Amino acid sequence: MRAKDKILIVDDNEELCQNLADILELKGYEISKAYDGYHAIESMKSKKFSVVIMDIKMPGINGLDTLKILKQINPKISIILITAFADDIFYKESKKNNDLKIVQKPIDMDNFLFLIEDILAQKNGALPQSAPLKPNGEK
Amino acid sequence: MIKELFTRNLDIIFLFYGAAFFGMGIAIFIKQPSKESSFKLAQPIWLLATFGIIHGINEWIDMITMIKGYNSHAWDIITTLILTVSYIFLFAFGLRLSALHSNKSVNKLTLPLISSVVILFIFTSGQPVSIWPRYFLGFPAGLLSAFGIYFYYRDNKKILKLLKTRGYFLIAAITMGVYCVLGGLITPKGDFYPACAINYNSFLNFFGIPVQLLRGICAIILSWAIYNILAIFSWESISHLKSALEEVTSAKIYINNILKSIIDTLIVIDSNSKIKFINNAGCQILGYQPEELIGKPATKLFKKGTLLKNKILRNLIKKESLNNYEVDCITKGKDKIPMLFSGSIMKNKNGGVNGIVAIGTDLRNLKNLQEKLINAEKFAVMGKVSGIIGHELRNQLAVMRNAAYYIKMRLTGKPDADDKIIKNLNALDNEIKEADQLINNILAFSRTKLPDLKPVNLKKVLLRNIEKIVCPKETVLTTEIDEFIPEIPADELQISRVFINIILNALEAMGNVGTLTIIMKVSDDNNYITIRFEDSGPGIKEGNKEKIFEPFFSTKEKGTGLGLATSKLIIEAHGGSISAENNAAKGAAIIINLPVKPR
Repeated sequence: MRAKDKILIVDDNEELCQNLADILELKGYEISKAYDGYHAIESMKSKKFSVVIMDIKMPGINGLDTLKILKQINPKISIILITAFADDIFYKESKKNNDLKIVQKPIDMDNFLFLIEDILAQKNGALPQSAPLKPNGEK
Repeated sequence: MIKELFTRNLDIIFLFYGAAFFGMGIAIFIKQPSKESSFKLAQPIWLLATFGIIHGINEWIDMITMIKGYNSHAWDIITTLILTVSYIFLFAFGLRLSALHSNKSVNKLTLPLISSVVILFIFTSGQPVSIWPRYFLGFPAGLLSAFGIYFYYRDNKKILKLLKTRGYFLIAAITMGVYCVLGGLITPKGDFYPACAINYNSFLNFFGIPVQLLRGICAIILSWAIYNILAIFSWESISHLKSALEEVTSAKIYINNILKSIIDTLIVIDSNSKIKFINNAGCQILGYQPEELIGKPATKLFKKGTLLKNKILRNLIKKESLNNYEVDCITKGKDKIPMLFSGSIMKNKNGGVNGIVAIGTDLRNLKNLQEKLINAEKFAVMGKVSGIIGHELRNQLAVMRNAAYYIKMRLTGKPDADDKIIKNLNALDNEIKEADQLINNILAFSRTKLPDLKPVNLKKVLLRNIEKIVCPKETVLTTEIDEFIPEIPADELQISRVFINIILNALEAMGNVGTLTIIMKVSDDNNYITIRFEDSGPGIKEGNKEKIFEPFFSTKEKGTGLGLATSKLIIEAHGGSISAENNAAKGAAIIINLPVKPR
């Protein structure tokens, strides 16, 4: 059995971080949490994550800026941005960038879990890419 | 017998002969044709008049000579000099008149030169003195005048025919010609040819009448013809008057047209505060016919006492003008119309107040615009607020939804997880989804952006969106689309949203049973594309036809009342319009007009 996939959750809403972590831990992933961009960068340096789930709107350094730094640290990292807004710009951005997924809050968890599995499967080369998913996971 | 009768009464002939020419001269001077007249004859005619008067006097002198029996050489010379002067004027007339035809001016020295020669001969020749002016001045003068009149007649044939004076010109020319022969060539008897052969005596012997009688007759005919010719100047002045009158009339019509075509209300009130004039725009706005207002008190158009209470009139009279005074006007149908008036006092010659002229602008459109502006501001604020609330609420909803999911995960397959718990968790999840949808709708409305206009084929957009919609089994959706629908500038995403909103609304209104017909066609003037969504539902209540487009107005139990409001926002941002009505048969119709060309 291979080692647990490591996922970093970044959101200034601690409760959201917590119950998202609960769900994902229950699904068998190893979860780290960060409540802002700086801590996310710190964590990134110390651990090798497969996936980062990150809020866009955060105090201090926002999700999009954090994303750029995280990519510098680990160019192979997959990032899922979660946002309460779903502006057209982000969608266009996500279409251009295959690695970038955007999911709208409140999260449709069934689709979300499927998305994570899919990303990891691609990364581990175990499974072919499944059918494309709706980026916001909603309707 | 006859010869003797005439010879003895030559003095009487001279009387009429002289009177005829004198009268002609006076008549011309009385008429005094303007030098600016379009008839160029007016310019030299004073010369003819002067000739007439002097020559007339000359004939009368001849008459006196005859009666008194004066018979001295000195007297002869004096009378001949007067005759000479008269011929000089006729000569000048003839020259000037001929010059009108040939457009060539005669050497200015011609006339003085001939005159000098004549005068020289008078004093030195020893022949009967009147021979010389007759030969050298009278004859050519008469000839020039005769041809001058004839050519003048030919050059102005059309207009003279119109004025029915053609005949008089011809008569004048012929008479002048005859007169020039009788006066210029038939002279007293001289020692040389032709005066020795052709003279008064030979003429009398040959014709049996004295030449003076024929000259007199010529003079009378000529004067009569000239007198009639003078009428052309009268007619001219009449026609001047006529054209002036026409000008005034057309100017009046022109000014009236301007006054009538002014878009704003123009009203003139006399010093008794009665309406003296009101233009079409004013009548239309106020709902009156002009005759219902003219002569009526101006207070009829305002709320009782408004004018006096607001001191409008008093201010106006004191300051002589008034700018942008807002006051409500009352229409015939007793509606209030806010109007913005500017007016000023009209004064008469003596500085007294003659009345008031005022221009009023209908403020209704402006008020509408103001309302729209206020609404736009409201929407802008709402957009910001709903954005913030939406973000916050979504974060909280996210936590709740995750929590529910987590609990469901933990309980699934566990013995104490009965149906009720799962059902409750599902209900929680569904309500969160509903709440999220509500936020979506609010954001869609409040954050509707300016359309990104690109050429769009509405036919394709409509058909594509209809495909997306899952139509209930009991519903029939039909389309009637014009063969050719031109591409128009539009935001495809926004228009799609409108189509879907309206179609879903209609389906819901029909309770998913009935017929929805979508008709798309180009307007008759080719300026708009009209899309009509006709459902067979219960229709719209009369009072709700406009309200259904207001935000948060909903007749449905569930619904934010934002679908149609958002649609309206989008359509209006495209420069189009959206409205609702009930079909003749059954159900309601939503009508969209979108401009073919960008505004």
